[in-house]
Amino acid sequence: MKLENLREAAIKFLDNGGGVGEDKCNYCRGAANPKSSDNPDKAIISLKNERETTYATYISVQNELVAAYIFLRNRRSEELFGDSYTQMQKNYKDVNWSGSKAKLKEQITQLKLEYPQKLSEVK
Amino acid sequence: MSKFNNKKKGELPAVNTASLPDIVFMLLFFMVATVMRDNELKIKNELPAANQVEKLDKKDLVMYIYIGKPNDGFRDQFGEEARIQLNDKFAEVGDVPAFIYSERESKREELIPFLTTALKVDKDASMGVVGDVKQELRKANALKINYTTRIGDISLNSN
Repeated sequence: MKLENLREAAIKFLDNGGGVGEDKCNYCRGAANPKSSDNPDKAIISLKNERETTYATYISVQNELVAAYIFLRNRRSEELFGDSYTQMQKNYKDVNWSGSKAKLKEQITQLKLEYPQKLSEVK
Repeated sequence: MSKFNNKKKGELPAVNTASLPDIVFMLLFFMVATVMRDNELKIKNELPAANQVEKLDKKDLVMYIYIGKPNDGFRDQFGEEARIQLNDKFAEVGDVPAFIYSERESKREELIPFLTTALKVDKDASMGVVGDVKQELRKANALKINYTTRIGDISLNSN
């Protein structure tokens, strides 16, 4: 796979929502392929790298995976709260932002729970 | 009695300024040495680019670990492979936990849980040494880590 296609493949995998019954994901918009992930909570991406891999490659891969999570969280956030996840995080850090930080924190936590970043690294 | 009165009355003698240059130079050298100690990198440290990044907000709670190939002057002694630099010295992988402990000691106790380790790794370094460092950090229970990058598209990373 080429690096340019990684982001899309990650989104497809995370947002697949192939689970049924208890594992059903009612906010996913993926293809619900039974061979892919059940729901975002169960979608774990495992990274394995050789000792000779360059750090630049590793960072590029991380970048694409993080981008996939941010894309999904942004989409879900627009749907639920009418504002992007990125913007909400910016607001949370902004000392001059006038609004309920406690509520914002709750919303951010909810988004993080709906699309949790589960990356594992294999030795 | 005029013999005893020929000293000028009421005027203070001028301060002897002969040692002033010495003091000025001492201060100057002290400052130069302090500044140079902080940012002398002995390794190549060209950070990779990424655009999905977040800013670290508390700079004083960050410990820096540098990894990269030694610079020209150090290559004879330390070889061509990527090496670790802690503060201003070259270090081995095994020195990392001790570094973390000493950094922790220098911070206030209530701030210790918020300490973050920032890895400033050269883009050409191999993941082997980075993996080893991460393993050591895990041993020292320094689990909050950050990969420092410059902001840019990842296409800049391929040579």
